[in-house]
Amino acid sequence: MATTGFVNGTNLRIYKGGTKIGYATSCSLSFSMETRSTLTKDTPGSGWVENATGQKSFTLSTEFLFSYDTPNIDPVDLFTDFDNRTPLVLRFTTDVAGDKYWEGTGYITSYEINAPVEDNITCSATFTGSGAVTSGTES
Amino acid sequence: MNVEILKPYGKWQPGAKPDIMRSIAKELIAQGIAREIDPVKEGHEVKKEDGPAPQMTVNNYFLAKDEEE
Repeated sequence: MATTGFVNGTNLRIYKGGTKIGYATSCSLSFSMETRSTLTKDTPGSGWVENATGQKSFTLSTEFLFSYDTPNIDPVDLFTDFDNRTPLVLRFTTDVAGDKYWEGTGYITSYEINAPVEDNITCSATFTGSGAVTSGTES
Repeated sequence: MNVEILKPYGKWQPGAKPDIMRSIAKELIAQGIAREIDPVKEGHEVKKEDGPAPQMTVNNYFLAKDEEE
């Protein structure tokens, strides 16, 4: 049954190839589009910028706690993917039937492991999309 | 969906309890590679402590007779 009302952010996760990534503490998906200025000397316009549409792109990012023995995608798995420049199938979803999801292919373009004294080791990864994002409904 | 791996699959060895998408979990369960588990019951079960049940002490301050009376 699809989720209703205000959705708890805890439930929305990034899956890599169907498996959750690490012990996540936050996840995000962002879309952007470049623009092309259509300003010419012949069409100076009214002083306001006028644009045409350009390339669309997306990035997924996540932060998670470091653990060697997580059954989810672990920090070493992600390093291997980064090192091998592996294209990853990523899905941003609650994994609840009836809920919408976003899915696309991306590469790890940023990966950081931070180990402060007397605190949890944390990791952060950014996946830059390659190609289109598709949206669908979990069945 | 939380599952328990019953047969080696990818990086998972029997006993591993990954949290995977339902669609994949159903395939693994159908193939006998995994079984569905309840993470609350099987992963974080709280063991009850033995011993007598705690007793509630009622403070009868307002019901007690005043010493001066």
